[in-house]
Amino acid sequence: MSAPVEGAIGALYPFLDARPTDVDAVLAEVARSTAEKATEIVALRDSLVAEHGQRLLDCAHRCATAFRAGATLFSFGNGGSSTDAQDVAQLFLHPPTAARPLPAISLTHDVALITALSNDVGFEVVFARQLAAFGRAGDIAVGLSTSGGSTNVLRAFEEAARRGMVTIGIAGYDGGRMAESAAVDHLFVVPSASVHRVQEAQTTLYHVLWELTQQALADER
Amino acid sequence: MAPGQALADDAVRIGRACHEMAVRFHRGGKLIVFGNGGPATDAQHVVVEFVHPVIVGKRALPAISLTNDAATLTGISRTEGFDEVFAAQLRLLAAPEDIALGLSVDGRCANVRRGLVTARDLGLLTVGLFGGDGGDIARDAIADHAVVVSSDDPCIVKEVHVTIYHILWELVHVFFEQPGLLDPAVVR
Repeated sequence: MSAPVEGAIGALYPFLDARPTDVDAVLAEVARSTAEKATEIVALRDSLVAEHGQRLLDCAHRCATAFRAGATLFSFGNGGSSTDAQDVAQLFLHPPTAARPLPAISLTHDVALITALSNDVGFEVVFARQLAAFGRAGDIAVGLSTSGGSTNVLRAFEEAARRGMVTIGIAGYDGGRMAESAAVDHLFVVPSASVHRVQEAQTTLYHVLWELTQQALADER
Repeated sequence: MAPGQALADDAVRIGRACHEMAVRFHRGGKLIVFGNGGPATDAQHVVVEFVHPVIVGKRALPAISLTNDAATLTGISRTEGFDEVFAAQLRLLAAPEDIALGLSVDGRCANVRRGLVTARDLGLLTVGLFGGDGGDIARDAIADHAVVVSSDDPCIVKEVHVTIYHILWELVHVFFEQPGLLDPAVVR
């Protein structure tokens, strides 16, 4: 008789049995579910072309124009999205392939600033206050939030919009509060219920945005 | 086959790596992650996955990234050289029951190689996520478990790496839910 595992993992992997069991049987099942996830993310990425293709092109042209006018890109997010923000910044600043390096700064890694702002004012201002200090009209703000609901990301967009910056939001699910914000000029939403698949597809979105921006800069030269 | 779908072919290898990782965590080990450039951000992302799980109720597992501390990174680089930045930290922070995870988009990072060699010599379980042709690190089979994403585009390699480490986290927890599989005698 089996004893199904309860809770979230049990729901994700109904084949699990709480009793000691055969390693090879579990390995076969996890291999099958891994193959399913690979298929799922490939299909999700494919779907982004129809959903966002033209809008990514439009956004890239706007970024290219901004960079040609001397813009700096600022990126921000929380948790896993903070690492994406750093990846966005290093991708633009120090491209992995032959491409034009562009000024970009992630607002997520100065621990002194982030702890100072959190301690003295509140965590909701950690990105907005940095944009207030660094951001100029025509600069670019890229905010990532898988839920679309991170208050500090939304506050940063409001500050960026106030300063006349180009604002780009990358979110998951239904876009959350980011989808309702008037401060976001270009919004890209990954429609998946899995936070992991959302993050994976968001990575593709900003890679493509970077490539298209590079192409637009080369074309306009 | 496109690299994203080709991941399915590595599924059994990934499953075995996760099983051994779960055994290490069960013994009290921690996960230590490192890489350069984009993969440095991946190292930090992996840590968030394990320490602060997205699924409510999943236990936090100990993980640290060797890429966060600019003082340490620049200090070691100045005195011992950049190739030693991860190995030097591992010698001080790692215990034999730990797991080392190194990421490199082309498998040709001297400091990642030095980190994995040092980890292996200290008795850690070593796991590598690479790209391109796997470079010298995959060729010389430095890591106990290596997954190579066969693409020369570092952006595509990164995208598949993100899926792989999400799956690593999820499968480690799957094995945790199967206590009978965490006995070292079960691991082959």
